[in-house]
Amino acid sequence: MTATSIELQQWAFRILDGLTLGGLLFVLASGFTLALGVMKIVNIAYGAFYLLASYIAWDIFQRTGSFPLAVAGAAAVAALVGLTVQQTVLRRLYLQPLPQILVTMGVALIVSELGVIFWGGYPRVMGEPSWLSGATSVFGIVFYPTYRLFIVGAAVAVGLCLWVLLERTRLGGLVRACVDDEEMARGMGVNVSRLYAGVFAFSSLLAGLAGGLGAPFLGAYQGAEFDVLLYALVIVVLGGLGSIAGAAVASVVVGILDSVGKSLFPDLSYFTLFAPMILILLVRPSGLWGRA
Amino acid sequence: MRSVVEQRRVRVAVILALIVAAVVVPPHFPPFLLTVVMLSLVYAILAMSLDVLMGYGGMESLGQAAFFGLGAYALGILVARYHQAWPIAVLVGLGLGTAGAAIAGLLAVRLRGLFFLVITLAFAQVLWGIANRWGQMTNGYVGLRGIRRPYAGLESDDNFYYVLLGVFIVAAFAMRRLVTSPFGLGLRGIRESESRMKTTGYNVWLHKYIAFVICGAFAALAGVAYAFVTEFVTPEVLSITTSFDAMLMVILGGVGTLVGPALGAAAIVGLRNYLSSYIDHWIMILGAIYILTVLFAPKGIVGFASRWWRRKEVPEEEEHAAVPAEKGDLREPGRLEPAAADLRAITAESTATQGNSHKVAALQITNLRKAFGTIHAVEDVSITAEVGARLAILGPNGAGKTTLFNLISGLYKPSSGDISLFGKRITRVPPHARAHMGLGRTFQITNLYPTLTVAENIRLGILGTRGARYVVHAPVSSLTSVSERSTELLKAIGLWGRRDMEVRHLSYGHQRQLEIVMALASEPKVLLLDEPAAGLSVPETTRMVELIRSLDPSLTLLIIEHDMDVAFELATEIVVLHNGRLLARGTREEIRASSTVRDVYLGHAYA
Repeated sequence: MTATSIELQQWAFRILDGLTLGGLLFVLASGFTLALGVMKIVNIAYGAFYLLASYIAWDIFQRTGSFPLAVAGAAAVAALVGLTVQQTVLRRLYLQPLPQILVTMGVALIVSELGVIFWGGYPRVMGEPSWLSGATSVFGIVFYPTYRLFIVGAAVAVGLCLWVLLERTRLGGLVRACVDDEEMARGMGVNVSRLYAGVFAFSSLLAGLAGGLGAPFLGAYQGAEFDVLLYALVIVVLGGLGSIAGAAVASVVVGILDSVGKSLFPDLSYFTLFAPMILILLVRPSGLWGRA
Repeated sequence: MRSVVEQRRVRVAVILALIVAAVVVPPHFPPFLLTVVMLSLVYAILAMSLDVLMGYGGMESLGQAAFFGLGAYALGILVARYHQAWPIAVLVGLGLGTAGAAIAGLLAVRLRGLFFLVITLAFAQVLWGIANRWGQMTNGYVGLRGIRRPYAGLESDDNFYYVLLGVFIVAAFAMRRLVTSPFGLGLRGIRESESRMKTTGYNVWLHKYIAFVICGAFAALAGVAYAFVTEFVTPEVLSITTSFDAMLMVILGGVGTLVGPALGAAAIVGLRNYLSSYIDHWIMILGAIYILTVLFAPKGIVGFASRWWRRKEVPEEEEHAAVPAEKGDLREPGRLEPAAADLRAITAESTATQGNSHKVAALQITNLRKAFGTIHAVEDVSITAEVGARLAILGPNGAGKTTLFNLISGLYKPSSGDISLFGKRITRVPPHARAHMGLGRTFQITNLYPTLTVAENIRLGILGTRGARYVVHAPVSSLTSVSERSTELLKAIGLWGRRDMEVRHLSYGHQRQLEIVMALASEPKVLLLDEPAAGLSVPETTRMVELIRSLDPSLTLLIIEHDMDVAFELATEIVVLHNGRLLARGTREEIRASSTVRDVYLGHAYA
């Protein structure tokens, strides 16, 4: 094998790692940006929802061995927790950014501490389902873990579903109407508070879905709640608040920057993550796809 | 009602008593409690620095830990790794934290709301990442040990406590001075209304940036103190939880006060240290404190206390409301007092100095255009106003009148065209610099500083064009020339009795009047009045017209009016805008006779 082909393989791995991470980050960030775009809520507990879902997926998989059940259970629990938080606390703090942020910080602390109480402080990495284990050839260049390719595929599927849901259904139309002009939507008879409850639950569901899908890849560990939250924040800032398309592009960019950065400059990984964000914000203060 | 002097005496007495208690009591504490007290002092400095930023400056930062951590690490590394003497280590710690704030401020200060939150958070997070990874320097996540205090005598907490107490008192006093200074008043003004501050002469960005850097320096001071107190630094000091905890301390104590954050810091530090030794999952309680504080005590401990205090003092408050009557200048709420003679007197000096500028036009607008996307709000407008002109700008809704004022005052950038003030081109001059060149304006939708008092509103107007707005070390009240002028203006408009009332509690009529007087406070030579009579009743409008007529005749006035009668009363010359274009210009009689104007206002059929 020649030196160039080894180099090619290394780059293929870096790019594929980046796409895998990017895919997972897209599932994660799409829910975050949805809550932000529609309800103007910065949900600091979002990472904690992800972490809780990861623990639950691990637990269900341990008990039943069923991957679909694990992911579905994780997503369902996250959605339920999200809905509870929205109904009990957040609805009282409508359009108050700082109080919302602080309250969700409190929720984040409580939810991640619950993880410690129930699953201990150790990292829990879920096994891969047998039908997704092993590796698959990618364009004959490298063999790449099948599960990671599955994540990329799942992210594309989630993206398509979101697009159809938001752009092609009546419900999606209502959501977009609220993003554009909430007051007008209210005036036209949209039940905004029910819509908000639904959107927040759906946003949490996406956090849970990401937690379930990521459980065999990133694993559940103490501190993941803030690691994951930061990724979501960076993506949303880069992509523009509330923009799903922006989140998709930003996720891929961040995923690839992160994997290439980590393998080329392992000591500078925080720079490779945050430096582009700071640069882009200098040029475009409202993000790549944000409205000025 | 207690007099101000008496209140001040009480406050000084309380502070002295507290200092004496702080000197005498803690050395008798058990060691653990003394440590908790010391940490409380450290976090109090941090929380106060954040509160100056968010409670006074309206900049809600989630990255205050960045400068705290920079100070702590710089000191720790120099002392523990390089065995440097403490003065060098302290100076470098403060310097590095301040420099960090200077860099972060460049990125963050121009952003607002969510973006500001996110970028400050991101900045702190980058440093957190570095502290974790740069093992040779920081010892990574394990943390840096062996930060020895200087001098053998300070190794004991009993002695070091006094050093720390001294640092705390100096820092608290300095921050108190900062928030009561003209600079601090400016910060509060910016929190309330950036657009008003810009058109009053404040460089809003610079003001916020300076505040950001100063607050960063105080956070760095807290960090330096922290490293000496614990003699141990971990990446935790830079983490998102430290930033959030600082914010929780501010809110739990009471935003916009300095006592509050100190109390909040003591509460959180105390709870953390005591509860965490008894309860395994103290973090859950901290989480609950976050939620309960926001839901049930959004004004914090100080808010609770002052509500309780006020309930006790209700009778005195009623007396306070009656004060103006005793002084003989109570005005009916909602009534406008023209006080014509007084106003002419106080505006005369502003224009006395510009005798030689009669040759050039006060304001010249040439081919001005402004497009928002495909909408042409102002289209090829040229207007000249001579010194002392009384020019009314008429036009139906959406004619582009307010857009024109926003272009002249600099809040909007024109798409093309030029604006000159006394012969100097100001098209690209920022709004605050235009105010310094003699341009003032009022707003159609009342744009005051609602939670500041009437006197503070006026003072902000006076300070806008004076260098003293950057004074940080002396209280506003010590500037006698500002106080005199403020008294003069307050008496002239009959708001002297309400000088300590928050502006949002003033009647609408008084607010409209204050709009104009605040603009006059900065002694403009050209004044833009945007619908001064908007929303006023017929008698109030009459008085407003009298007030405007009483202004110095050499002051150049541009007045937007909806109401033709008012415009005809006030102006010698009238321009009519329609769909962004200049439709007509002429004297009252010419405009009255113009058939095009009639068409615009009344429709063809009527004409």
